[in-house]
Amino acid sequence: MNKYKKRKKCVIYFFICVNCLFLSGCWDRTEINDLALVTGIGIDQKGKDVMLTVQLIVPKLLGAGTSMNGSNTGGGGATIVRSGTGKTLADAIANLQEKLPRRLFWGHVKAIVFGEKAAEAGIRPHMDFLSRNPQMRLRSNVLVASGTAKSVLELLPPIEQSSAEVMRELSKSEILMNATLKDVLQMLSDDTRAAALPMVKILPVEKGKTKLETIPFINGTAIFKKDKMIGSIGDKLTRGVLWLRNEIKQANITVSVKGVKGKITATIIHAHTQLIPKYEKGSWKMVVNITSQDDILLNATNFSLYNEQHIHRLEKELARATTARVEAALQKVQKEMNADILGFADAFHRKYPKEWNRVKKRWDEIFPTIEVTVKTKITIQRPGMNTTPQGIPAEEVEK
Amino acid sequence: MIEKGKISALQMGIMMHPAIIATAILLVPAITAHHANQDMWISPIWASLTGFVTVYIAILLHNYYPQQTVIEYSEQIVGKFFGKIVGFIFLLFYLHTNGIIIREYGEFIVGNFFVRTPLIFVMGSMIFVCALAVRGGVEVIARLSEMIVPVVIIVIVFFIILLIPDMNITNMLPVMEKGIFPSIKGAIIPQSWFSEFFLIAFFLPYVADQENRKKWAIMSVVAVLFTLFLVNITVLFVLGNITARFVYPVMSAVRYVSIADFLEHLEAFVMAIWVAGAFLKISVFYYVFVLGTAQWLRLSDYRLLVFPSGFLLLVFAVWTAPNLMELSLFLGTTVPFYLDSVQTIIPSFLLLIAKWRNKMRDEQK
Amino acid sequence: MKIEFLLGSSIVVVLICLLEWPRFQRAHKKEKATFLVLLGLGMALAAALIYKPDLPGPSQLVDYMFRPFARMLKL
Repeated sequence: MNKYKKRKKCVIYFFICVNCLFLSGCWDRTEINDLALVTGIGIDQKGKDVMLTVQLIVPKLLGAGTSMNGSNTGGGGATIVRSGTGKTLADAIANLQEKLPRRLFWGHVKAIVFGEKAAEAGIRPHMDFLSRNPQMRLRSNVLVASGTAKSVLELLPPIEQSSAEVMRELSKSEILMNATLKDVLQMLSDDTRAAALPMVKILPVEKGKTKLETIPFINGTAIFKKDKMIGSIGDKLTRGVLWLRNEIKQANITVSVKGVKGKITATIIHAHTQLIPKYEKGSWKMVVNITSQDDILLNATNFSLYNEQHIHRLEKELARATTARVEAALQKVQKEMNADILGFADAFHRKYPKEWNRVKKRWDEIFPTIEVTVKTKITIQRPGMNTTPQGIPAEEVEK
Repeated sequence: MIEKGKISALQMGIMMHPAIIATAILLVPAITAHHANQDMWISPIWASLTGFVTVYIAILLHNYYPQQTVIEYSEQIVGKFFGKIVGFIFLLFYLHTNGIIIREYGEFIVGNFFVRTPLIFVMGSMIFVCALAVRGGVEVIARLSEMIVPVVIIVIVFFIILLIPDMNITNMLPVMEKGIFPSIKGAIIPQSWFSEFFLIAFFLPYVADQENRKKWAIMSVVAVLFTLFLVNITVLFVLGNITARFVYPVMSAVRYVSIADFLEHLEAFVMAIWVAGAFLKISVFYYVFVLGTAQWLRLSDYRLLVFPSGFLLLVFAVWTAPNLMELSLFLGTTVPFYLDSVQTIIPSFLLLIAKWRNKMRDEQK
Repeated sequence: MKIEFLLGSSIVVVLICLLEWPRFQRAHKKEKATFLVLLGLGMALAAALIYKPDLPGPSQLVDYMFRPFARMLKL
């Protein structure tokens, strides 16, 4: 009996030792100092090939950047870029890996930037790779650079750690368009196959700083149809589109009231847009109902805002300005570009599934012909900290 | 009786929850979404019907033969020879199904986390741990589930709450666009998972508080239904029309969590709860196979069979499918009929014959 | 490669035998037989799969049996 107990003990010890092998994480054991952490991916078209640029964190500098060392240029210099080319994105990665002593790790990708040329050539093959890779995150922000993606990624921003982080924060602020990898995949696999991505430009360098010490900033929207970029719109029109998509979070509207000198600016506190589709005897109509509550931010007129009639006049003026903004966006996106990035198809699909399914295939013909009525209602809630306009004598205030 | 342990009805109910859920939220939501699109949240409701029916059948059969498991009483119902055949079908079925389950687990771990680790090591180490649990007997498995299941449920609920900011309710509209059929078609796969509730036929004889068993078995079906419903609706709200494009939609959705820039990269938790859930599921199936084999051969102890069966399970897991695509296709096409016919249709025939026999006996008296 | 796999499976089988040896000695004849048959079955299948990985298995049988149902419902 004792003999067996001993033998059993031996076997158990053996298993414990074998378990130690497993505890180290098997074949996929990787030390952090063998990894190259990618924070941003840039994809450019280079002739027929794809050029992939990755932004890597330099671990040493990242620590030094926050130290008290005066000679250091702030947080700058914490990242480097490397590029590789190949027939496909995966090919380019293989090419890139040859030039790197560490293994690329994609779990921390914050921003994915497409160069303008790559966007025009079509982003679907790249999107497939990005969503197929198990390390990649659907949360990464997707943007389009005017120019090359590499020029955006190689910037060394003065405040943030990397330009990818800058783009992520700017996207998240939702002042203009914001799209994650998930959103883009959803837009591309929708029936309309139209997508809208934020577009970044490079902020001009301040005097006395090196060429790279600046940031990319979002300034407009790139419009995609069937995964190819067909054009872009500026920041003003983008806001119009955001109104229609019910995505407006922060915006100021500046108007002048008829017969009064100077301008008044209001800021949006709450905004809501409702799309009400109507289908009558073969004609497609859309009513856009915009409601918004604003606060007054600035009053450069001699117009007292403690007068109900004045407020009403102002509210109307604000509504008119918003409507004009939205209609300008409609003119461009609906009539000229014919790209349904506004969610009209979804609205019709929800309300009239049968009718919509019938015309699903010809949506491109119908979309530009939809009659859109924009109805805007703006209410002013608070005047800020001032009662009557500041800085002028009481007699001059128009009560 | 071979198994001397006793469990409570509540423990049995808790044990069944991971035995269904663990793999039902891996590959299945994508298949459901493929058929039902935006109605995928309705599918679990239809699917649960099979669960209720199966539980009902198992309990009625158990009422006729309260001291025996299905392997034993099938001999009494259809005679010794045919009973042995029915028993053999059950054993082979649980061996093969467990092979599929282990493979699903292994593919999930290897596909998402340990890309370069050989599948056989991932599966083998899991089987080894399960073997230790199975050797402990039914009480050990029941207590383990009492410990693990609440944690799993809390983590799932936690994820759902974290995903609320990213949910888009309009993803579920229009409801029942193409009528009721897509949602029913989407239910075909999950309903076969519900048929796995027939496993209670192996545990009912060991339940101490017999008066509660019906209540907790039904509660367990409801809990599984509720979990599947919540998970499906969360995935739908987050991923919308691209749900069917992902192999593991739940995983993709959880990886999307990002709260205040620091509560992100949570997939380690997903892995933890899935490993725990899969451990219980595999253990339950493993136990049923080992116990069934011992009863089928009328042995006096099943513990000696645990490790050899584990080795056999590993071989079956490798044998099931050559790759993940074929495994997924297999699960999406013929597996539902397979699971249903063994776990719902054969037992209902057994029940009919048992009823008829009892009637004859009463008339003779 | 094949030899290594075969060797690996044999090591697992031997380990199982060693681990279960005390219980095995105490067990009845029937249990011993089942134990050996199950192990032998596992080993034989493992060997067969190592040399012929595409060996049709239960999955293929199930697929064959239920294919018509799946087709009927266009799954």
